[in-house]
Order: sequence, then C-alpha cells, then structure tokens
Amino acid sequence: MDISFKLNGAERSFVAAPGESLMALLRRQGLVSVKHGCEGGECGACAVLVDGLLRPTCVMLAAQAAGHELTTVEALGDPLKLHPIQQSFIDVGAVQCGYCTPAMLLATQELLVANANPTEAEARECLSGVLCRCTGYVKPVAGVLRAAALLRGEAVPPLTVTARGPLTPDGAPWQGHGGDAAAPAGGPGGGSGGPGATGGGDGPAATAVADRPLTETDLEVREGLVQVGTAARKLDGPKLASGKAAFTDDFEQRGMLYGKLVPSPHAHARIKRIDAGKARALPGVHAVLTHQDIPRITYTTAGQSWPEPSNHDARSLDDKVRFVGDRVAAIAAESYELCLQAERLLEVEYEVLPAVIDPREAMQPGAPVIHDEPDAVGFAIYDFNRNLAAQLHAEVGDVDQGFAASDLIIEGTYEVQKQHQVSIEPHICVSWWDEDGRMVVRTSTQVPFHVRRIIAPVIGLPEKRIRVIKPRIGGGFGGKQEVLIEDICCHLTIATGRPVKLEYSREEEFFAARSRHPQIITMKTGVRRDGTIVAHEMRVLANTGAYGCHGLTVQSNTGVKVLPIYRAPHLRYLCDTVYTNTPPAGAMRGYGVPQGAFAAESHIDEVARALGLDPMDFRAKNWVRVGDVNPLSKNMNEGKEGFSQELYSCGLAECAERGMQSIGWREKHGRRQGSGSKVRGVGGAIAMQGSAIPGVDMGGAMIKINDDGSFNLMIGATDIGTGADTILAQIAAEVLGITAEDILVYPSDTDLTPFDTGAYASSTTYISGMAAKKAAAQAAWEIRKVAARMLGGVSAEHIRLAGHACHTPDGRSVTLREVALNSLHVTDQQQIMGTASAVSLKSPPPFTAQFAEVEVDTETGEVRVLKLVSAVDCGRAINPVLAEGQIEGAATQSLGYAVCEEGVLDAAGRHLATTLRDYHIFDATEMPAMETILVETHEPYGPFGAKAVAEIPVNAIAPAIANAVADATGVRIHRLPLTPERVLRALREAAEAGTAD
Amino acid sequence: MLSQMTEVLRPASLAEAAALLRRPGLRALAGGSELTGGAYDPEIRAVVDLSGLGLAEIRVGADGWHLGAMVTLAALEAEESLRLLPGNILGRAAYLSAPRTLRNAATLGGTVVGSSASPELATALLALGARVELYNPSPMQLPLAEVLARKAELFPGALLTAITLAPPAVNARAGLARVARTPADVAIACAVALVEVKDDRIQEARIALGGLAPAPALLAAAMQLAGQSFAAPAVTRAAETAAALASVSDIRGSAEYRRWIAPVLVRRALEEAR
Repeated sequence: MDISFKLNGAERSFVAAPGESLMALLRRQGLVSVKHGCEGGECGACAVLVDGLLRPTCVMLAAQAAGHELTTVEALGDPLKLHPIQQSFIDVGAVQCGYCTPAMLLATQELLVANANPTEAEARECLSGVLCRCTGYVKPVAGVLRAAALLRGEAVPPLTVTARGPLTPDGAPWQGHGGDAAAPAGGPGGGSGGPGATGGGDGPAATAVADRPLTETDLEVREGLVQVGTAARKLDGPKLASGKAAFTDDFEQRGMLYGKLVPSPHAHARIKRIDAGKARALPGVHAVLTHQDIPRITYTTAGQSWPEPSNHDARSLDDKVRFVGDRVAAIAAESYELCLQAERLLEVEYEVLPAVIDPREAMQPGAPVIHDEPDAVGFAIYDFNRNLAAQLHAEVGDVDQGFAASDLIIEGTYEVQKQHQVSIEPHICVSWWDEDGRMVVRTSTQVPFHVRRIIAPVIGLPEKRIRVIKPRIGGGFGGKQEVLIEDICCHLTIATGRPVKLEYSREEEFFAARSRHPQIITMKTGVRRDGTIVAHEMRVLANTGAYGCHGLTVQSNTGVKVLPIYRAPHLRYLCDTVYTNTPPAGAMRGYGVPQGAFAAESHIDEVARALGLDPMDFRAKNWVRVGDVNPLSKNMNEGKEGFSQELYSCGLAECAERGMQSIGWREKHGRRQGSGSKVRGVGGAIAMQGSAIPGVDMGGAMIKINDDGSFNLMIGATDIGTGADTILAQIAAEVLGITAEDILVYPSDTDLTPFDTGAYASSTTYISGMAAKKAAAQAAWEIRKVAARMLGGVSAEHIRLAGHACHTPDGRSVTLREVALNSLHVTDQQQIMGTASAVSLKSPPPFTAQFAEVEVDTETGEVRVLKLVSAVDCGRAINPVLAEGQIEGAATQSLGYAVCEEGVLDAAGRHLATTLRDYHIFDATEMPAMETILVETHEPYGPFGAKAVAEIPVNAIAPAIANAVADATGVRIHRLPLTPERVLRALREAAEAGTAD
Repeated sequence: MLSQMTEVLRPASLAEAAALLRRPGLRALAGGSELTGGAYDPEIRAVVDLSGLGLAEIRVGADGWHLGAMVTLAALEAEESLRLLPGNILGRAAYLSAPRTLRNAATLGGTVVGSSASPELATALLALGARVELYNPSPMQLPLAEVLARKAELFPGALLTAITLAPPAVNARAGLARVARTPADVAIACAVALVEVKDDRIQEARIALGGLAPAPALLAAAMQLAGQSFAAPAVTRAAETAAALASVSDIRGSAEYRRWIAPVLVRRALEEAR
C-alpha cells in the first residue's frame, strides 16, 4: 500500500506491506537510528517523534504514520554538526553502548520543546520510556539538564577531570565503627610504593629526568598524567549520538535472507521424525535445516580460550531437545514472515521424555539423563549419568578442625535466581560468502576470535576461510560471551549461498539465550568470640541448565573470588553444577561472584549479629590486606591449577569508610526508623573480583603512525559499549604525548587486528591496556630515534614526547608530523609502528564496598531502595567518567537482581517472563539516589596503576539491600529477588514464629 | 505481530467500522501498541483502522465527560478538565497504566478492554461508575462493569467508541493504592476508592480492585458502608471481603499473596479518600 508522511521535514511517499511495522519501514529507508530492542514497545529503542510525541515504532504499523510528521535523530545533527543535546550527552558520558541513545535524545527533544527549564524529576520522566541497561540513567539525566541549560543560552561549566596525583596501593586506612567518622575526602598524598611503583627504586626527584631514559613512572609521578585519568570524550560518541550505521543490523548485504530458529515445545524429547518437505516447498523459503542436514559436531557455545574449559555437549542441531526453546530446525527465507509461515509447515514427531526442572532433583537416582549421547565430552570432574556437569572441591587448612576450634558456628542456606543479561541490542549475526569464497561473519559478540575458532569445525571450514567482524555492540554483559547463533547463521549461508541475517526476538533472548547461573548456597562459618573467622565453608548447588557452557568456570569464580575476601586459616569450597531441562545459564557480568557474594555477605551480617558486632567492624577485622595471598588462587583457575595471587593493592578500607559515611551508617544502622507500616534500614556488603584470567587472557595491539602524526591503533579488544576503545586510545596517547582523538581505533576484526581473548573477565583495561601501552612505547621509541637523528646532538633516550612533538632537554623540538613525513618519505624510510601483546600471571582484584538504604512496607512486603552507594577501588581510573558509568550501570543491574529480575519457569520448564513487561528492568523514574565513589589506588601490575572496573560493582548491591531489609525489619530473607510476596511471606512467618527482633 | 495481514481497512463511518468488525479475521486497530506487538496471530487477516472516525475527542459538559475511545493515555494524563476529578484519579491511573512512550500510543479503549496494561485505568473508571458506548452491532451503552465481565463475549466483534463519566458528587473524594515489585512495574494489584464524604463519614463508597482477577471488579461490600465512619469495624470487615476477589496467580505474585494484600489496598485507598 502507498503511505505518505512527513519525515524529517520532507514530504515522502512509501510503498509498504499492510502488516509492516513503522520500525521496519524506517530502517528500510536507511534511518538506522531506529533500533530494534523488543517487540512490545517497552524498551523504547525504536521510538521516534510522531507529531512531536515519542512513540515506539515496533508496535505501530507503517500505515498508521500516514499523514503525520515524523522526526528521527538523523534530523537532529550529525558528527560534523552535533546538536547541543547530542553534544551534552557525549560530554557528560551518557553515551555508553549507544543503542538506546537516539531514542533518549529524541525524548530529550520532546521534553525541551515543551519545557525549557526542566527539573531533574521531569528529565527522569522524559527518559522513562527508553530503557537503558548500561548507564543507570545518572549520566543521561545529567545530559538532559545540561542540554537544557545550553539551549537556554546559559554558560555551562566545562567538563574536565584532571588526573589525580600519585596514588598509594592501599588508600586511606580503616577508622572503625567507633572511630573518627571523618573520612578523607580527597586522595591520599604521597606514595608508599608497591613493586615498580617508583620505577624500580629510583627516587622521584624531578631533576633527574634529563639524566636517564624516561620510564612510565616518570610520566606519572613527575610530569603528571595528561591523558590517563581524564574524562576524554568517548571516541565513538559522535557517531552513536547521531544514529549512524554502526551496529550489526545497520549493514545490509545484497540478496540477504532472513533466518529463524524453530524452538522446541518440550523440555526433553527425542525427535523421532522430522519432515521439512512442506516448509521447503513454500515459495521464498531457501533452506530448512534439521539435524539430518548437517554434520554432527560436538562443541561448546562458551566463548573461552582454547581448550575451552566447558563441557562439549552441544551441536548446531541435534536429534534430541533438552529445554523448551532448544533448537529443532533453522529456516532461511526472503522475509522473516516467510520464516514464520515455514515454521508452521514443519512436521515434527517427538518422543517426549521425562524432564528434570528442579536442580535439587537433577542428581537423584532415577532422574532422566540429559546428556546420554556418547559424543558429549566433559572438561574436568563430571558425570553425565548423574547430570553432574562439573564438580569443584578446594580446601586449605583443615576446615573440620577449624570448626572444632571455633567458639561459634553459624550456618545458613541462600538461593539466587536466573537473571538475564538483557542487552537492549539482541543477539544478531549476518554471514555471507565473500569474493574469495571465505565466510564473513559480522556479529554482535564479545569474543570475535573465539567465534572464529569455535565455529570453524562446526561449519566445516578452516579458520583461515572465516573472517569475524565485530561492529559496535549494543551491550553484552556476558550474554555475548557465547557463540550463540553464528554457527547456524553460517550453516544457512552455506545451504543457500546467500547472505543471511539471524536476529533473536526479545522473547528468544529470554528463552533461548543465556542467563546468570541460579545457585543454592550453604554458608558455614566458625568464629572466635573476638570476631576472628577461623573456618569458612561454602557449598554450592548450581544449575547450568541443559548445556554446560561456563558451568565449571562460573562456579569456580564463586569460590575463588568470594571466600578469600576474608582471612581465615581454614577454607573449603564444594560445588556441584548440575544439568536440568531448562534454558542454559552462561556468562553474566560478575561471573559467579554476585551469587556467592549475596550468600556470603548476607551470612557475614548474620554471623556479626550472633557475635553482637557491628557487621562492618566484623568485616574489617577479617578482610584481606596488601601482602595477603589468595589461598584458593592456586587451587582453582579455569579448571586447572592456577597462579598464586598476592595482593599488591587494596583500597577496601577506604571504600568501606567513605561508603559508610555516604549512607550515614553510624547514625542509621541498627536504629530502625520509620512510622506505621513503613520501616527503613541500611545495609552494606563488600566484594572483590579479578582483573583478567591469569595466564589465560591475552590481548594484542598494533599501532602505526600516519603522515600527519596521527596513529592507527588496531586492537583485538572488544568494545561492547564500555568505552574500551577510548580507554586504550588514552593509554596509547599518554605514551605518545598526543590526545585520544589523534588515535584512530580499529577494533576486533579477525583479518585486520591482532588476537584478543575478548571482552570478559574484566580484562580489557588491564590486559589489552598493557598491550596498547607496550605497542605505543615501541612506536615512541622509533619516533625518538628519528627525532634524535633529525635534531642532532641528543640521544633517543633523552627525547621527551609531549604536545604532539618531540622535545630535547635543551628545549629544541620537532613535531610528530615532521617525524612522520621524514620517516615515511625522506630518510631511511620506515613505517614507525609498534606491535605488542600482553598476558599476566597476576589478576589484581578490584574491590568494592556497597551500601543501600531501603524502606520496607510491612503490610505489602514492597521494598523501595532509597539510596545506593558504590565505593570502588579500580586502581587508577583511566577515564573516571567512563568508570563511573560502569559502576552506575552495574549497580542498577544489581538492584534489579535484588528486587525484581527473575527468569521464572513453570513446572514444565516453560519460561514465563519473556517480555520486558514481565521481566522488569528499572526505568529512569524509579531509580534510587545513586552515589559513586572512586577510591583510586596504585596497582603496580596494571597499566598506569589501573585495575578492572566493569564487573566489581555488580557484586555487593544485592546483599547490601538484603542486609538493609534485615536492618529495617529484623527479618532475614535468604532468597532473591526480594519480591513483595517473598518479603511479606517472610515477615508473616517471622511474626508467627516470633523470630523477628 | 501482523506480518501476514493483507489489508488495512479505513472505514468512513462508525457503522461501517462496526460492520467490518463482525467479520472473521478482522481486528480493530486503535493505537496498535497491543495488537501489533503481540504474538504471531495467523487468524488476523486485516485490521480496521479507527483513526479516521473522530474518536480521539474529549468532550466535557454538564453531564460529565465523553472520552473518545481513541484518546491516548498521554492525552488523558494531560487533560485539564480531568484534573477536576477528585485526587486527579484518572490522570494518575492513566500515568500508571503503561510506560511513557507507550502512553503516547496506547488508547483509552484499547487499554480498558485489552490485556497488557497495568490495571489502574480500568479500575479507576470502574470506581468512577463509567459507562461504555459501543456498537454491537448497533449503538448501545453499557456499564463498564458489565463490559469487563462480558469482555470475551463482546470482543473482537464489538466496536468500543467512547467511555462516559458522570460528574462525581461535589463531596466525592478518591484514593488509589497499588502494590508492585517496583514503582514503574505493572501492578500486582490495585484499589481505587471513590467516596462521598460527609462529616468525616462515608456517605457512599464505590471501591474497585484491579489485578486480583482477570478483570477489575467492584467490591460489593463497599455499597453497605453508607453512614460509617472511616475507622469503623464495618469498614475493616468490608476491606477483608476484598480477599475473596483474588483468583490470579502469576509471575508477580500468587493468589494467596493477593488475598493478603487486597484488604490492605482497600484500607489504603479509603484512607487516601478520607
């Protein structure tokens, strides 16, 4: 049908199918700022202004737009001429992955047209129809208010952050519960120095600079950091804020087909007969693949380093289905609608098998065996006949003896749910044959190099015939550390010879992608009366679902990163990870730590209560300090023996002090406040993570100079919206004496960039950052040599790079452009470049102390979180604004984990929360007050003292909230999320039993 | 998802639209937020676009409000005249019914008889004693309570054209209480009370509850509160009867939980109306 409407100021006419959504039509016209995030209008990523009002276009027919006036972000501005709203969002750090940014910008436009001087509440209201999984809304709200001020013509303060001076490895000391409440506001002065902190013992006297080669420490200590530690604008900000084609779905191939997977209706069944004849006969259908059509190759979908420490128990298509939503067949057709029609024509006869849904029943005698096929291979300790996917056992000291020597033993069991990653961009992949007969895969992934290696045998091509390209990614959070759909997309391209696009619907994201592993955790702690922990034990039953992806390693992390945060001579960690007929779990931000931290940190509060101690004092008495060795680190590392981890930096005490001050701990804790049915309380918790997997994670970087003294930086590191490209550019720029904008970053293309394990395990800043720094240092050395030759009378060692130039100690200089031109065109021509890789046997833990203030409605069980405080020691923050963004986003995900996010299955294993209406993630209006405190320390092993920041703040919010609920009500709830029903039930049971205090 | 749909029909009159809706495979297209986003429904052959029928008007007169079925939730929220209702009860209910962008799309009619919105709007209209104008196939008026009770029988064949509200008594006050996992989540349950108050006593009360059962319903016991003080035991007893309305168990809460909170919601709605 013909449809006419005004689009970005011009009258336009289009031909559309009657059932075509407005989103589809606009994207088809190249307006790719309109993003697909769900199919229910809830996420708002596809929203555009219709007659000035922001409306989701996924739930609007193109026909409904007829006669109206539409505005998309393409009309707002572009990278060469940004609108003040776009510029403000970039400046304040409101653009993370950028997938929801265009809709947020339009929401701002909608508001500011009607209201030039909005309040913060009005800013939150305007953004509330656009869900963001990255930012926690703090910075987008700031972006709205700053844009409003700019458009009112007001002068706004420049947004600059200068790097802090030298840092210490351990921050400010613990003051104690009764101690001086005044915590240091600024950073600690002076450096006590860890290994390497002062350049191998050379004194930090500035006069010595000219007498010896400069070290990185000189840069840091004597001259101050110029790029690192500042709020450099995100390099991809302008294109993301302009809605430019940057994501997988934004590039179309000629003749592209649409793919779709056919999901299993049964939790456990054997496919007795499958007939695709009628489906294939449908005109426009190009392929229907079943297990009969492709070779049976067993692999793991877990995107990990070779050899992947996950069970190899999956096939692209199998003759058995193991969860509701498991793959039955795959279809490629000329439209998605045709795929849906073909799906209905597929004839499948199932032999329905008994299923096991509850993990407690998985290992019971007589339970149905989920992996009874002979070609499944386990990784370490496993027993397929008992549905045991992985088993872990680590002990230091003698735990039984430790319990015997304890004055008090406290035991408690905790349960955590299935949480979903909910990146607003779903999993999406486009594959095609290129002109050389190579398979090109553009995919929304955190692990492009693992994708290439893992799919190679599955699709029957050698790695050299596969190229994987990672464009911009609309959020990952671990969900895309999975080789989830690339295999089947390639199978469809092989079958049809055509480019194929395969994209998950939001419903599929819930029932057929991955999630955080649900766990049942029993904590047992033996203490002395004085509050010393003697023995600490954790027993875990984890549910990996139908496949064992990340089943060993997530649970390994639960033990190795949670138990050892407290010094105890006797530690024991026991874990069974079981298979069930439920959607598989996998990697998710925090990777096992949020589960363990909820149990352990709830439990620590209970132990403190039993001892009559302030829980933060109890923590402080037992927590780790600089110089301690993680006793489990040698026992468990990716299923094999690890590397001993000594602590060189730890700002935990300062995190706790400043966090307690912010939440008002000393005034509020233990003093329940409130009136009537509303009671308030505060709670705190601590956690640690790691920075990369020691001895496993590796990143490479290449850098080369251009004629004008700019650089290309090619990195395997995988920016999934975090700002990693910018961070790595800042690091390289610091070394080269330039700005991040002078570096053109090209990331993650298996043909064009060096290898990197990918964006997971909090590794990018630490590992890839070191690689970028080393590569830049190599190039810098070449530059110095050329400059010394050009300037004469100076040795390369004494050339200093700063301000786009090379300087001699006696004040002469030559610009980088002159060096580049000379080197490329004039004398002893060479391409100045550097190539380096980094790996580390050390995984320095970042730390956090997080706090919550809650209000509980004792008549309904509703928990309202009033304030969240996250104090985080991430070493040196390379970019404090991006680091804050990571923390705010992580805290928000953790808030959802605590109170509402839950993947619920029925008794038959069907997923009941498959929309963003039912699986609720927080919007901008309902956020608590958020405070973020960066406690910067100097980590001697990290680039410029940096550690990781992405995962650590996702760990301690949920236990802090549970502890606050216990503080408010006197009732301890052992299970997440703290839904109104769960809370009210616990309150009623406690009232009946008389156990509330 | 309407991918298989072959036609968008644009009737010129209400009678024509009503006639079309009685044909199999046709559905009314209002804002589209529920119809076009739902699961793949091969039954739907064509949609009947209601946008050209003048149904997006709000008329206010001495006899109250005439709210066109195509008025969006955002327009209800913004409508100045509706703020005259006690406690701005309808504006608040519209706000709570859906996220912001959907409120710019979703309509009054679709929200009241649809199944995806949070229940506040229909619950508030029920407490306000709303009536529904529809073509079934000829024009008729029914109480909202009856339309909600007969929803499955009436739709998709009937055409909902407007909802009318009589002006509440000058001494009417209103209260709204809800329980949800988070403030912006769909309500687990909600209650709206419309109370005529005289000398701090209840002269007449209408209390509606949403979320407890598949459709919002009126609390019968509220009719017997005339003359009671707000603190009277009879009020507590009436609130307790709300538990009996709870039948729904879903991912947000069990029927048992809904039985626990229903009396609390009634008491709170009354307390706000006091």
